[in-house]
Amino acid sequence: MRERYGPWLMLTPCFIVLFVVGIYPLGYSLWISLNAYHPTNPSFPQGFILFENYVTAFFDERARHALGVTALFTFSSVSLSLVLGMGIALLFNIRLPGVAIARALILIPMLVTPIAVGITWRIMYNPELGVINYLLRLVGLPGQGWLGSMNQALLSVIIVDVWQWTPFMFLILFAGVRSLPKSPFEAAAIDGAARWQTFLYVTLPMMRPVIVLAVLLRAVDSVRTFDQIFMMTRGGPNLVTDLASIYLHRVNFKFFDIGYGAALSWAFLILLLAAVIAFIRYTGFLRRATEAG
Amino acid sequence: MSTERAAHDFPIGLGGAPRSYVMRRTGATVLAASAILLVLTVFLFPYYWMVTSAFKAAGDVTAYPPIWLFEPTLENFRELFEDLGGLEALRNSLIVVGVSTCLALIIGSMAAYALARYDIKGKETIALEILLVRMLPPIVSVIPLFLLAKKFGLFDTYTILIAIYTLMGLPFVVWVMRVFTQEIPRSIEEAALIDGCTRLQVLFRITLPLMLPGLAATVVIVFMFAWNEYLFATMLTSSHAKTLPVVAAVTVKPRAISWGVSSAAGVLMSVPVIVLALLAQRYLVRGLTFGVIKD
Amino acid sequence: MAHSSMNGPRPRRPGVSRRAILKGMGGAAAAAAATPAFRARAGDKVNLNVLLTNIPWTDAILSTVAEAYNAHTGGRVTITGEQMPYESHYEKMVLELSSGSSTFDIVTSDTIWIRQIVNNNWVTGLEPMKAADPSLPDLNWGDFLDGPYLFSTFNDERWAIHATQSTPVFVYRKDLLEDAGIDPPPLWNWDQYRDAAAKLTKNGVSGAAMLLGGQDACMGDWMFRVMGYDPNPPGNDFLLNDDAEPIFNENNRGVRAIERMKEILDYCPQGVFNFDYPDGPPLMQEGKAALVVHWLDMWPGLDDPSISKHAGNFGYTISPTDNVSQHMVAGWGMFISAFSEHQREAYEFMAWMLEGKAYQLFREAGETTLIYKPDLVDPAVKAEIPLLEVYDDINDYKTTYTAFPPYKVTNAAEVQRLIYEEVIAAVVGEKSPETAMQTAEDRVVKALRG
Repeated sequence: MRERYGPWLMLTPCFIVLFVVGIYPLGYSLWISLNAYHPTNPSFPQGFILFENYVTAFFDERARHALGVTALFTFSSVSLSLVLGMGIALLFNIRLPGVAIARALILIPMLVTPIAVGITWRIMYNPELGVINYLLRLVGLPGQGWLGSMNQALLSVIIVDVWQWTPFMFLILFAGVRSLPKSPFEAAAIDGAARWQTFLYVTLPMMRPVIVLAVLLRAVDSVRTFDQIFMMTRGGPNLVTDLASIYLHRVNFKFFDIGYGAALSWAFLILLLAAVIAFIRYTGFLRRATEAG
Repeated sequence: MSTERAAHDFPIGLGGAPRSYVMRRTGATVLAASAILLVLTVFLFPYYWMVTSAFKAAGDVTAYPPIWLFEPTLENFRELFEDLGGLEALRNSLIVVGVSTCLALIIGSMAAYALARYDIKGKETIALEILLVRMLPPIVSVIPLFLLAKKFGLFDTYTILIAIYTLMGLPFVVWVMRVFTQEIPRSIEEAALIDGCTRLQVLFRITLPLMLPGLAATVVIVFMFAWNEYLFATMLTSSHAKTLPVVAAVTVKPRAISWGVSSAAGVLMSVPVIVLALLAQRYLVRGLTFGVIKD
Repeated sequence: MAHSSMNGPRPRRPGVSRRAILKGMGGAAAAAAATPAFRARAGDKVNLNVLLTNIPWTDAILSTVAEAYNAHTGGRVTITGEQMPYESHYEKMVLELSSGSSTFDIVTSDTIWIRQIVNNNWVTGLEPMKAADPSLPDLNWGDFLDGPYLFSTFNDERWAIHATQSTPVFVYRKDLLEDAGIDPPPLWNWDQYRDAAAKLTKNGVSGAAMLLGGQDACMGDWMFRVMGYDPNPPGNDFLLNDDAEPIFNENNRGVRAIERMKEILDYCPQGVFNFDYPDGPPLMQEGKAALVVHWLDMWPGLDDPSISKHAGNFGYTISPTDNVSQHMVAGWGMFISAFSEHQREAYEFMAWMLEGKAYQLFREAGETTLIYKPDLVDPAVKAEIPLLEVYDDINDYKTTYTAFPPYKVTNAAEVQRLIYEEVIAAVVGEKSPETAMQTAEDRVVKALRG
C-alpha cells in the first residue's frame, strides 16, 4: 500500500503549491487573455472576445519591434558571453598561485542584484559625469553617448548583460573544460597539432553538450531580462532598447490593458517555447538530459 | 571533488604542447597572469565602483572628474537603515527568503525523490510542467495573485511572499534534486529497507544526508532568485512585509537618485548572496545547470 | 420593480438624507463609498495609511507631520504610509484602487493621473464630502494660490488638497551669461534661448539641456514650448477640445515645439536622449550645462554648496515663450480613497493640513516646491530657496496658469505615452515633425475610443 501511495504523498505538497500559486494565476491569465479587460477605463468595451487580443498582437507593430529587439539582444548577449566565457575558462585553467581566488572573484557580477546593476551602470555610463567616459578621455579617446545614443544604447545594455552573465558562462564552461579526458589532447600533441587546431577539432567538439546547455539556460533567462534595462533606459531612446519584457510591462502596468497584456505574454511565451523546443530538437539536448536524469 | 582535481597537464586550447615546454616559457605564463588580472579588473570594476559609491558623500558620487580617494562615510547606510526602514526590510527579507528557501528545498526534494525513485506514469510530463511554471513572465501572475491575496487577507503578509518564492524555487529544486537522487545507489536504500526501515525513515536517515551536496547546490540559486525579486515584493506588500529590493527601488528618486544610498542598498543586498555563493562554490555549477553538469 | 422596492418606505436612518444629496450629485459610487466613513466611532484609535511617492514632503508626512498630527489629536490618530518609486507608484495606485482595496485611506497622485481616479470613482471629493456632511470642519483654502487648483477642481468642486505644485522654471548660470556678454531679457523667447545656448556651448559646457529619456520629463520639454503659442481658456487643457478632438497641434504648435527642441540639440550634452529627471540636477551642479527649462520641483540642490559646485551662480525665471506667457501647473494632490474605512478622519487630517503647519514641516524636510502663501512671501524663505523667485515673475509678467498634461483623459498614462513616442521619434529625426504629430493625433483618437 505504501509503495502505491507513497510517491503521490511525496508529490502532494509540491502539487499544492503549484496549483495554488502557479496554476491559478496561469489559468486566470489564459482566461483574461480571451477578454477585453480595462480596469481603469470602465467605459471601454469589456468582456469575452475570444482570440481578438491574439489577432491584435499579431498585427501589433510595437510587439513585433520588441520581439526583434529581444531577439537581437539575446543573440548578441548570449554569443558574446559564450565566446568570452570560453576564453576565460581556458585562460583560468592554468596552474598559477592565486588563480583559485580569481575563479571565485569573477563570479561576483552574476551575484549582484539586478536593480543595483542597473543603477551602477547608469552612473558609470553617464556621458557627462560617468567614469567610463572619463577613462576614455584620459587615454585620449572621445567620450561616447552610450545609453543616450541611438546607435549605442542597445550595444550598451548588451555590454551590461554580457558583463553580468559571462561569469555564468565561465562557471559552466570551466566545469566542462575540467571534465574533459586527457587522452585526445595527448594524441593531438603527439600528432603535432597547432593550438588552434587542437581547440577547433578536439576541445570544441568535446565541449558541445556543455556549450549547448549553457546557451540554452542563458538564452531563456536573457529573454526575460527586465530590472537592469528598465533601470537604465526604460526601453529608450526612441524604443531602441524596448525589449519584449519592457513592452509587456508597459501594456500591463501603464496602459492597464490587462486582457491584451496577458495575450501578449502568452504569445511571447509560446514563441519562446517554440524556439527552445526547436533548439532542443536540433541539439538533441533534452534526450540526453532526461536520460542522464 | 572537482576543486581538488589538478589542472590539466595539457592546457586545453591554450596549448597543445606538454607542460614542461609551457613551464619553460615563462613569458607565456607572465602573459597569462596579466591577462587574468586584466579580466578580473574589467569584471570587478563596476562592483568596486558600486562599493566605493556606497561610502561616498552625496555630491561625490556624481562628481566629475570622478573622485578616487575620499574619506569614507557611513551616511548612506545610516539613511538606508534609519530613514528608509532598511533594517526592517532586511529582517523581512531574511525571514521571507529563508523560510521559502527551506520550504522549496523540503517540498522540492520530496517531489524529486518520488520522481526519481518510483515508477510514476507520465513523470517526464510532470517534470516538464513544473519547469514551465518558471518560464511564464511573472508580470502576468501579479494581478491574479494580488486579487487572491486581497481575498484571503494575505496581502502584505509574509505568507503570500513565502508561497510565491517557494513556487519560484520549486522547479530548480525538483530538477536538480532528481539528478542528485538518481546518483545515490538504490542498493544503500534497499539494504536499509531490508533492515526494517520505512520508506520515510530511509529518506530522512539514509538518502537525505547523501543528498546534502545537491541541497547546497540548489540553496544558492533558490535564495538568489527570491532575494532579488522585486515585482511581487512591491505589489503584494505595504508597510509590514516589504523586503529589501523594494527599499532599494525607493532610493531611485524622481528628482535626483540618491546614488550613494542606492549603492549602499546594492552592497547590502549583494553581500549575503556572495557569501552563500562562495561557501557553496563547488556545488554551484550543478545547481545552475539543473544538475546536468558535474564540476 | 427592483427600484421601487428599494425606494419603498423603510425605517429611515440619518444617513439617508446624505445619501439623497449624493445621489443628486450623480455619485452613486461616491455614496456607496461614503457610508463606511461613518463606521468608525469617535474616540476609537484610528490609523490612516497614505500612499506616497519618494520625495522630501513624503518623508515629512511619515515623520514630522505624522508626529504633529498625532499630538494634535491627543494620540487618537496615527499616520503611516508607503513610499513608492515614481515609476511604481502609478502601478500600485491603480492596482489598489481598481480592485476596491482599502489598504490606503489617503492616496497621493501626480496631476496627470487625476482624472483617472476621479472618473473611476476611486476617490471621494473633499468639497462633495463637506456638502454631504456640514458637521465636517471647514477647509481653509485661503492660504493657497487659487491658480494651481485648477487641476484638481471638477464641476467647481475641489477633490483634493495639494501637497506640492510645480511649474516650469528657467534655470540659468548667471556667471556664464555675464562672461558671454549676454544681458538676460526680462522675458525670454525661444530664439534668444537658442542663440544664448549656441554662444554658451564651449569649454566642456553645453549651452542647454533637455531631459528626453523619460516619458514625463520629455513631455515636459515639449509642452513648455507648446504652451507659449496660443491662449488656453482656464479649465481647458491643451490636449483635447470639448468634443474630445485632439488640439495639441492646433495652429501647428506641436510641430513648432518639436522644431524648437531640435534646434538646440547641437548645444545639448551627449546622452541627452537618455536623461530623465534624476540626471538633471547633477548635470547642473557639476556645471556641465548652462541653461535648462524644467519643472520647479526638480532643482532642490542647486544652491546647496555641499553638493553643488556652482551654488549661488544660478538664476531663475519663468520659461521662455514665443507668444503668450502662460504657465502650466502640475503637482501632487492628496485624495481620500473611496474605499477607506476612515474617510472622516482622513478629511479631518487634510483640513488640519490646510491650516498650514504641515506645509511648514514640508519645508523643514527640504521640500522646495512650496505652496503655502505665508511661505511664498516670507523673505527669509525666499532667501533660502531662490527658486521661488519664479512666483514673483509670474505675478510681474501677468502670467496665467494653464493646464496641459492630459488632465481630461481617463487613460492619461497611455495617452501621454503615445504622444511621447511620436515626439521623441521626431526629435531624433526618425520622422518629420508633421508626420509625428499626425500619427500622434491618430493614435490618441484611437486610444480614447478604447
